[in-house]
Amino acid sequence: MKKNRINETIERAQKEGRVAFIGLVPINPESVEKSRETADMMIASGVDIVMIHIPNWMPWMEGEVLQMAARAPRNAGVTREQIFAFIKELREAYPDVPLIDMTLYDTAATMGQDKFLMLSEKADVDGFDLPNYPLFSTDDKFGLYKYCVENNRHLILAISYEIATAKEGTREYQMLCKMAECGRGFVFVMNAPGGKSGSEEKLTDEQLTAAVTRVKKVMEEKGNSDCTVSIVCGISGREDIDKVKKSGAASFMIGSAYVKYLQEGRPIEEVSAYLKDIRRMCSYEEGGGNK
Amino acid sequence: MNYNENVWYGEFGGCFISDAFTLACDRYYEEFKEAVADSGFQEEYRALKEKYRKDGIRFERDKENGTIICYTAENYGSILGTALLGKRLGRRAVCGVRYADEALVCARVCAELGVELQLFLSRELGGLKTLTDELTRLGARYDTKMCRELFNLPEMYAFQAWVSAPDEKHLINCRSNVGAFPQTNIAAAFAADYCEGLIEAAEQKFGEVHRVVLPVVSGTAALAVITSAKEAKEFVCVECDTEPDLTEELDSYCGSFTKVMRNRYTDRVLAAELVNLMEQGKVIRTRTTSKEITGIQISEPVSLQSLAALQYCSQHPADGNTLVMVRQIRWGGAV
Repeated sequence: MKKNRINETIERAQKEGRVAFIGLVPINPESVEKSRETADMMIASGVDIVMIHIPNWMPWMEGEVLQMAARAPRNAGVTREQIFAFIKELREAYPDVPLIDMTLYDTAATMGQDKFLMLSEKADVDGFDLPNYPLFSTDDKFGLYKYCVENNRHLILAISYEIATAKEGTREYQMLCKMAECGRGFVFVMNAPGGKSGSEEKLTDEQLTAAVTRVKKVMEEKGNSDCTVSIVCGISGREDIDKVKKSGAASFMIGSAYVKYLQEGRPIEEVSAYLKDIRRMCSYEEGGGNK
Repeated sequence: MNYNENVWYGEFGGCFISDAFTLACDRYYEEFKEAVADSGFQEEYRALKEKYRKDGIRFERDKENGTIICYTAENYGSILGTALLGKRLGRRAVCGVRYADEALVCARVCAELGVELQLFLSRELGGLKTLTDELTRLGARYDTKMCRELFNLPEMYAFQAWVSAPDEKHLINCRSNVGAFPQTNIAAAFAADYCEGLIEAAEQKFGEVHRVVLPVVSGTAALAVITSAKEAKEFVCVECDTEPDLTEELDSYCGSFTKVMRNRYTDRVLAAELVNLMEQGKVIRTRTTSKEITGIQISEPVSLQSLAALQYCSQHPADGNTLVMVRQIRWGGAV
């Protein structure tokens, strides 16, 4: 089976001596062209893996910035089908860039999972970030994980600090073992309680390192060393990127930090400069870190 | 106390939250089961119910179309029950509120129980100074910014606050349409307990009731009446919206998969367990618009959905007794 673009990209970044940069494309309420302009700018600025925000109409896992990013397209009457058409357009323009659908499982359930997957297949996405998909609590009742494994698309799992550092013998530890075994591409370790994007409340350096080290160790024990760790929530500047690198994670995701700039109407060149700065910080030569 | 132990009601309900947080839901369910098995908790809940339940329930025979009109007070069962659970668990409480009366009840009961409370007020409530003054006096903290500036979904913000620290915070539910299993079930159980005996009280006075017509917004109060009924009846749920262009979608409201009536700006979320009863044909669902309500004469200011329920009775006469629930207009908001 062909390697998933997500794995390839993270491996390439590691070989280049840096962590991989995952960025979020918000949906511009005005037009698909404007969303495309943002995506083009992000990729040109050095974003390695592109997540496309498919807004959920009740974005309870998101912070204020991404709630705004969800509200604007809804109020403007943007449909999910239009968003999938945009993702397909991105795939055609960037055949080698990993694309990930980022939404809540609610969107798939609302559209019908079959339709959601069919449209995702048409856009040849590489993965799904659906943080509230009840994989283990329902034993994959809806078959999404099975579909992903069979079709070489990754279902991105999210691990909280409490789960990552759980004592052996607890239910939390059992959950960690399952996640470490089933993770594909990368698993997110949440840098904030509740997994809320743009969070001000963050783990300390020591907490994050402990969480990442533990997850990597359990993944290794489970024979799942192809899977890497990525950091999500509350990443915005040098201090955060240094923390990511020191933690031993292979990638990180930024969304709210620059989506806010776009919402404020800052020039796209300014946002691009911010992303380029972030990309420079990805190198292990800048600020050190643990590969 | 009876409670539904199912995670799923047919294809509805569930626990659509991250696997990382489902363990907190499991723990909460265990804590709830322990609480309701404890006679001390039951006793305290009974005392709270008696204190907060208004004596406003009264019946009136409408001779013209043969219905029994039941003027009922709001069902505060789930607020009281989940607030008391908060006290038992020793946690700070968070709650999202849409109506002034439920905000006050929540703040009053938390003050009485010594539970620290943070409220998220809907856009409609945020500007009511008499309300916010009283909340302050009762010692409740409140947030008006989130619903004013973002989504007008106070329950969602309370849920977010809970999920960020589930072992420190406790979610008080006003309704059974919000949250992941077991939160919806727990809210429904307290609400059903709160209105227990209501149909039987009508039957003692007027004879057997064959049909019960219920006004519905979220369907929490209707579900409570239906699940607390001792005998099978024909149940009719009447919805009435003023928002334009509402269409039905399936969605999850902080974890519970259900039907949502929405347009670009508004959501009205039905209790998942009620939706399942509708799908199974055990409950008749009917929708109307405010324009269709004509000629209903009633001496008290009742809710739009109550008027729609009365209209339904007049347009759909039935053999035997029909009991129709009506509620007063509430201050606050929302579909």
